Amino acid sequence: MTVSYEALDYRFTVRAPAGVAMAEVHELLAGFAVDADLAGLDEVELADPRFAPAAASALVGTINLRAIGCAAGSLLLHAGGAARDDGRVTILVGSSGSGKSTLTTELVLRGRHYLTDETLCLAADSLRITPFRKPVSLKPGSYPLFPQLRPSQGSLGALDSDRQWLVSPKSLEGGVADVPSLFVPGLLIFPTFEEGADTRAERLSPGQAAYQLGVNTSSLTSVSGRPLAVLASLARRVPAFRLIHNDLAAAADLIAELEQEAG
Amino acid sequence: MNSFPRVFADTQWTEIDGEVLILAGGRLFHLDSNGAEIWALVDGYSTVDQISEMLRTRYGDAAAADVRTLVSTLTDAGALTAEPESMCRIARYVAWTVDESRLVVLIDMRHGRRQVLSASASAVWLAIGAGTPAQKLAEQVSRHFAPVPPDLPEIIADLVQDLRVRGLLEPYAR
Repeated sequence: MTVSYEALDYRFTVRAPAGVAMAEVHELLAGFAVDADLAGLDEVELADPRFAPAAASALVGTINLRAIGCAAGSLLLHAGGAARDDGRVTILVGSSGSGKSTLTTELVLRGRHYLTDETLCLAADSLRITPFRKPVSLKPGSYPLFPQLRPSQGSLGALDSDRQWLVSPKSLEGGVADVPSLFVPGLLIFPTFEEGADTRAERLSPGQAAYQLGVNTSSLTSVSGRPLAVLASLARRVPAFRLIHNDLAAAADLIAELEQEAG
Repeated sequence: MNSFPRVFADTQWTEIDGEVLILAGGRLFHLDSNGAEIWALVDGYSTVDQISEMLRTRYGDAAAADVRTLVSTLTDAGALTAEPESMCRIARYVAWTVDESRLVVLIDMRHGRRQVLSASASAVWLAIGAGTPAQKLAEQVSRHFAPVPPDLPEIIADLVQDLRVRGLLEPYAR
C-alpha cells in the first residue's frame, strides 16, 4: 500500500530501499500523512541508510525544500509554531540556534498542538496558518532536556544523532484529540538563548516586530501583494516579545503568561 | 551634502505606528520614530544640510549627525537617490486646468475644494507641472514679472512651500 503525504501544497510518496520498513518511514513522517489517496504525487527517495547515515535528514530536507517551493506567495517564516485549543498560535521566530525547536517541543509536551519547528506558513491575505508538521529536529544541546524523546537505536530518527534527532510529531503529542480547524497568529516570540541570563521578555514595537519578521522570512519578495504590508499587518495585530532565555521551564512558563495576557 | 535625497522609485516602504520599514535591494531596514522623522523630510525638495539643520534646531547636534548617517546608509543601499536638483510634482489627487485668462484653476479631490491661482502663482504651477526643478523656477517664471523683483527666488520658495503644506504639491516618488 502506498501512503500519501502532504507538506503545505507539496504532495508526495516515499520510496524506501529494501531493508527499511515503510512503517518506520510512516512513523517519522506521520505529521504529513493524509487519509485520502491523492493523485499526481511526486516521489521522494530515501537513500539506503547502510551507505548514507544522514539518509533520514536528507529525506526531510528534500521534503522541506520542495514544500517551501510549492508555497510561493505565502509568508514563510523561520519559526516554530504551537497552538492552543482555540487555534491561536504562539509563533517562535528565529534563526538556527535561537531555541525555537526546543521551545516548540516543550510547549507541545505541555499540551499545545504542534504546527512546525522550522517553517511557519501564513496566507498573505488572511494570515491563516497552514501547519507544516515535519519531524522535529532536536540538536545535541537539547538531548538532556528531552531524554524521553530519544529515537530508538537504529531507527530513522536516530541515524544522524551526532547532528540531530528527528522526532515524530506523534511522539510529542501523545494522541491529542480535537485538533483546531483554523490556526491564527496569537503571539509572536523572538527567542534568544543567552548562557547565564535571567529569563525575561521585552515587548517589541510593531515596527521592531515587523523588521524581525522580515529578516526571518524566506524570500520576502515572493510574498503575494505587498510584502511589507503583510509584515505590518501581522506585527500590528499580534503582541510581540523578545524572549531572552537560559532555562527551558522558566521560558515556557513565561510564554504561558504572555499567552494569557494576549487573550 | 547639498544634494537632494529622495526615495528611489523602486523602493518599497511602509509606515507602522510612527516607525518605518523599508525594503531596498533585497535588504530590510527598520527606522524608529527618530529615523521615521528624517524619512518624512527626505522628500526630494530639501538638501541633506537643510534636513540636518531642521533636526539640529529641534533636537541638537547628535540628531543632525544621524541625518547624514541615515541618508548615506540608505543611499548606499539603493533606497534613496541623491538628486542634484530638487523636484516636486503636482499631487495626484489635484485636478487642474487653465482658464481663458491663463490662470490655473484647480480642485483638490480630497474635499472638492476649488481655487484659482494668481497670475504669478499660475506661472510657477505650470513650470512645476512641466517638470522644472525648483532651482530653475525663478529663471523660468521671471518673464512673467516686469520688473523682476530682486527677491523672486524667495517669493517662489515661499509659494512652493505654501502649496506643499496644503498638500497640492508632493515629493517625487512618494
